Amino acid sequence: MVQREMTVTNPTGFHARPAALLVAQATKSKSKVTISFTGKTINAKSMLKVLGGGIRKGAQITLTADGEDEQETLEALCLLIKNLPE
Amino acid sequence: MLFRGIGAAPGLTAAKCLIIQGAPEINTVVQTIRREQVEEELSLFRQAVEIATAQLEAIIMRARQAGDETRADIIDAQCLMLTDPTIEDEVRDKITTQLYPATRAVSETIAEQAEILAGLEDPFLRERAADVRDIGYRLTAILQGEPEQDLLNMVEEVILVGREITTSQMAAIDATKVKGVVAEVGGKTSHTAILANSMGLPAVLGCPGILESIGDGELLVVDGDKGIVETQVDSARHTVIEREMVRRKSVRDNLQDLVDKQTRTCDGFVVELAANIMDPAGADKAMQVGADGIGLYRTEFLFMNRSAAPTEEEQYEAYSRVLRTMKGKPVIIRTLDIGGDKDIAYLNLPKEENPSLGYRAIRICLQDKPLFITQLRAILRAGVHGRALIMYPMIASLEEVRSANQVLQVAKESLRAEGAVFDDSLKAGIMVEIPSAALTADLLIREAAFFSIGSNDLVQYTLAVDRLNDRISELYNPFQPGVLRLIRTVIETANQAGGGKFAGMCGEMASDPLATLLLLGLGLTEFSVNPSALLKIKKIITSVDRSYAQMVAARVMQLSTADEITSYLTASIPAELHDYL
Repeated sequence: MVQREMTVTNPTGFHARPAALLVAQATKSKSKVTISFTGKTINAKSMLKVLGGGIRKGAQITLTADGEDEQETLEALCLLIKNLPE
Repeated sequence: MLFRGIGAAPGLTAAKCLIIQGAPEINTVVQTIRREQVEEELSLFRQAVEIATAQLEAIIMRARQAGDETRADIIDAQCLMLTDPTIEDEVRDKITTQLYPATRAVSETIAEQAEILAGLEDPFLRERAADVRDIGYRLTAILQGEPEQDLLNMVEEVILVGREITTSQMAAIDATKVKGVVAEVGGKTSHTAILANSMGLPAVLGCPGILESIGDGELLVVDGDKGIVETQVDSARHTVIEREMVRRKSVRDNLQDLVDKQTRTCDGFVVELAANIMDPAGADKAMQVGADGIGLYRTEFLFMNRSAAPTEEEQYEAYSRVLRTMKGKPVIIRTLDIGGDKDIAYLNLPKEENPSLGYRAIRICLQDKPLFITQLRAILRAGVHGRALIMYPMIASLEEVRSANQVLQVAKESLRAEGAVFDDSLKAGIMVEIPSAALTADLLIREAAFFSIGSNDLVQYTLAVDRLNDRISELYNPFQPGVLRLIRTVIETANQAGGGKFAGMCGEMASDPLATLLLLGLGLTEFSVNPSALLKIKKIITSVDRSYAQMVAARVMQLSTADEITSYLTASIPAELHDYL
């Protein structure tokens, strides 16, 4: 299992399109991927959970990947979150 | 009959209505299944998801072919929800442990998930509940063997009417045949509204009761500008509407022609017609309507709705984006204007008895230096990407201008010491919105690069009227002679100062067509207006002589009451411009 803490910096947070990009990327992974935010843990492969998480700009999140491709998964997602548009 | 709703996308149209299918009735008599049917129901559910995915992918493909990325992206997001593990797990659980048939499992899961989204604080996310219900309808219809309503092969032009026009229905329609959209639910931020706007279709949403009073094929009038739907339209009325459609279209086209034209009066006087914006996306809109610059960039929105102040880097990014978008046109960046009616939780501002006279705007920045310096450094660094100007809000005295300029020097020195790249020549001007600043304009202009009249607060402070107080809001009037005398002083002082100094206006008054001749005549050289009003104001300025405006202004300044002034100004606007007001 690998983990990383990061800050959401894109203007709209995990809103419509950013959330869709994130979920699409997470779904490609063979690992279990979660986002922890203010005590809640969210399945990053679920669009509904990601949208419902209310993760806005400035939020401190912990990204966790657990599975055979966990390292690549974590790297790819961190890169994506850092470069989210909108 | 008239029905009032929310004007969600502009335009006027008349056509026969096509009532579209709403949520399918769930007609399962069977409330639970036997254990041996579980596998069969699970496989029905999986098939339904596959069929629904194929239907949505077909819609996406058509949207992409038509070059409509907005439509494609929105349906793409629905596709993701369709295969969402949360939905799959819930449905599977309801079938296997609660022994629900697939239809019931789907409809209850969808209702639960939509409920969760609908309960969120963020209005944008609340609207996503509609997307979840949309995929629910689609799955239910497939499970019950109902055919997908064909919205693509329409014979004649229609206005779509439904209890709800779902996102995927909107995305599937033939845009050459559909002339307008009406729904009983939905609002300005719904996907239906976003799509109607991007497809150029007039839309009235949130219009309850319409369905029960119309029949399929009845002639309807949809006015998306006013949020009105008209039924029982006879042929005489239809003719009137068609004439009005032609008129509105010619007004729109006429204004559109002005986008690339210089803002110059008939006798050759050029003014700068800029736009007010609150975020980098606003700069794109400003460019689309041909703004000559940004006269007010309200940076406080960058600081709101978050848990900590934005970093210098974040601010630098936002300001740079605006400056790059504006391609060398001037951009006036107003430093943080908070307090008063705009609160920011993380600054822990205490509740005040009288917030508009309290701790706000420049008063906060001059006490919280780190906050102020961070913003000034970000602006100075971004300045190299275009033509930036700084503007301090809520200036009451010369001391404040000096203190703010000293902090600006500190910010410049810190950047210089670090060897950072920044615009050293960047200048600062002030907002004139407090009567004392207007009355001492001659003192302030020596140390300010420009004035921008904040008419909203100037009117409120001069007349001592809180315009949000319903009982006295009638007293709030920018055409009161007392206000106009202050405005005249500010403009004349800047114009006499020389050295490239100027007076502009960024308050609501600058966007009011009734005030345009007066302000132009008083010598205002920069108007900063809402992007939606920009072309209207441009039409007026480019249709008159400045000498005429000067004559109008001189006469206005001799009148004694706001009523006399507004009637005179109304009469002074040339008749051919009345269509644009």
